[in-house]
Amino acid sequence: MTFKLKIENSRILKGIVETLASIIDETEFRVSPKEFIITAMDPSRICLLKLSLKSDDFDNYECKQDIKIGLNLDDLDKILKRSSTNDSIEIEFKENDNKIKIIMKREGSSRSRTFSLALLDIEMEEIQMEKLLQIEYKSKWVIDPNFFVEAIKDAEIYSEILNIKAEEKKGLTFSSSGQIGEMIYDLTEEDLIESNIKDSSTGAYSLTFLKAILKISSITEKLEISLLTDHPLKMIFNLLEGGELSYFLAPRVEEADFNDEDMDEF
Amino acid sequence: MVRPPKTDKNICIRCKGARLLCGKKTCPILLKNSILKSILPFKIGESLRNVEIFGASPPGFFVGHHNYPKVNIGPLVPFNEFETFSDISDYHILDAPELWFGTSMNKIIRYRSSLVRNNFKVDVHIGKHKLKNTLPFKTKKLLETSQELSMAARPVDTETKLDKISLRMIMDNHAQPMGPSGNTEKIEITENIKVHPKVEYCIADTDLKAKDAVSDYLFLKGNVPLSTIERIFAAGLLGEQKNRRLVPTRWSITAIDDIISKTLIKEVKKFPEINQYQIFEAKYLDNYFKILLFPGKFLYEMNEVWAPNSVWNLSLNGNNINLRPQIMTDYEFYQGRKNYASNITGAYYAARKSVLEYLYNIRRQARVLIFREVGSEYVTPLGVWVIRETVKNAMNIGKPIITDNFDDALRKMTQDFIVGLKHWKKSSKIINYLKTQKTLDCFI
Repeated sequence: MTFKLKIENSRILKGIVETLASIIDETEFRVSPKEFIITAMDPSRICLLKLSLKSDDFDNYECKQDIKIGLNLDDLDKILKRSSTNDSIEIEFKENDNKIKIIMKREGSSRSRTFSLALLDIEMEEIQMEKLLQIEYKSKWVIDPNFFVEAIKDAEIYSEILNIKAEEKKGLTFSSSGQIGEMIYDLTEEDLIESNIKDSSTGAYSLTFLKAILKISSITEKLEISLLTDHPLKMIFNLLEGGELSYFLAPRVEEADFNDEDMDEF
Repeated sequence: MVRPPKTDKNICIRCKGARLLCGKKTCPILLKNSILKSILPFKIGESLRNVEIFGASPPGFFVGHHNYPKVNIGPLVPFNEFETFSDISDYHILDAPELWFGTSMNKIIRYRSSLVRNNFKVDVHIGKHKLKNTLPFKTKKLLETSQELSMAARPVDTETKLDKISLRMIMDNHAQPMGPSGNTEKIEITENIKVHPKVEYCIADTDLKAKDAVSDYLFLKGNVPLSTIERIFAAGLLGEQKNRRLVPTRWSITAIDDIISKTLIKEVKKFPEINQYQIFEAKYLDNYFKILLFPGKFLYEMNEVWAPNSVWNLSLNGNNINLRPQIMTDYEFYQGRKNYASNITGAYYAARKSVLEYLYNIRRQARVLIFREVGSEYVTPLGVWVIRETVKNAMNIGKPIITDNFDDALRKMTQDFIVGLKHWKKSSKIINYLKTQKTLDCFI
């Protein structure tokens, strides 16, 4: 029951952990001979993410059995933030050792820094993703994440909700409106890297959650988004060669009419 | 930050307390004036020279915030003896808000006005060695005596000499009732002081962080009264040596509320959720609180409204035109907030502390929604302790009203309020959020 993972460029790992830490406090890392998986749902059960990195994505990957370890992400984030961009990072776990070791080395230097981090004993509930994965989305497109980040920053001026609308042949519209005015961000199909938009779908999503996940946009070049009216937004970020991060975000819906009759005029 | 509307400068002069143009039930100036007259032998605006005061400090210690970081500080000593107090320990109540709940407004103004502020000027950064060595001998002596006095657990017989003492009536809505103040020449403690053992420990440990001292040692383990924690925190007696500094009393009160509730939030998040919609309520000094605890992971929101023509919600021209209710809202989600709750300010933290104390005691977590309505009888603001103690009282004394869904709970929340539910709903962020945000459970 041991594993050893090595990655030459710390930037990717730093980005992933930073993003995760902004969503959840602690999580379980699952390391199997083939891949490295993290699944997590935020405490209010609004978003869910699954990260999987293939063994080939790592520069060195040694693991013979399935292993689960619980970690505090804030602490891991603090440790990884100590690395600089061209450091290599090695994560090592030995059986019966109640901690992991994180070793940072710089190319062309024999200096090494070792950090250890105690494991947590956490019971994670098994998250059933099958149903989510089975949702048949009507629209799907691949977009430059920077466009999306831009739209989110624009929308923030007006409210805390981003409205997304995808229409066949017309393309995409991000919008947000508030007391002071409204913002519209239009994209035609040519602006998208790939697009497969059928009918028309709309959705409203919380900017707070979108902002948290889009921290990861700095380490990815393509973002696949799927949309279906009143269903969770699905986003897939491609990481490294074969790895991906999939993310589901529950929608905001129109408030059901609330009976205001018994409320007298002030 | 939203500020209260400006009052017409002349309304007090035109009114002279007779016509109540400001819309309050009693004139706050006359009220303060009559109380001050009854306890102090000199007129407002006058000053006395070379006054010697001997009395039992409750103990009280005040740090001003004007001209920060060079602030006026000094102990509080009662000007005369209180007829009704027979023993020295009775004086403790003069500066102990945690014991004031239920007391009438007049009595509280009386308590506050009877204390003389002894002022001397000092830079707040007292922990820096260099500075301490450069302080003039007199200031250093005054500072040390004041700090010693502020550690005390019981009233301390104190002798002070002021070269000038004056009483100013501040015609300002923001001013809390204040007694006279003067420049101090000499402070002397005439007895041995008694110090709470945990307080002594925290003051002596110069490597203990102020945050840990306050929440772990003094609050959770020591059960030290809140006013004592605030006082020694303000007096710069906590924290690592190099970081020790004087903290203006106004800031230290909120700082303590925040430090304690942050520690409690951390613990509360580990507890199971409550499974009912519970509404607690309490009313004190025309402050009406309703507190809703409901199932879910911890989050907190406070809404407050100053009913038309109460202290902060004056009509703009001094006329009695009803304004639309101005509800102020501040909130935090599970992750907490990083900036200051600038709409509600100190009251946000005071109420949060009381609610969390309750949740911590029952070992549960919950979503928290607070509505506060302030009526026109709350003539002059008395400090955030009103909020802290009223909420605490609501949680500990009253039995909650229980409902089984959110909408019913919201209706019950505003039942006896002047301001209707739709206004609250419009202002609240959390109600809207919970009603529109779906969770993934519907799709799994």
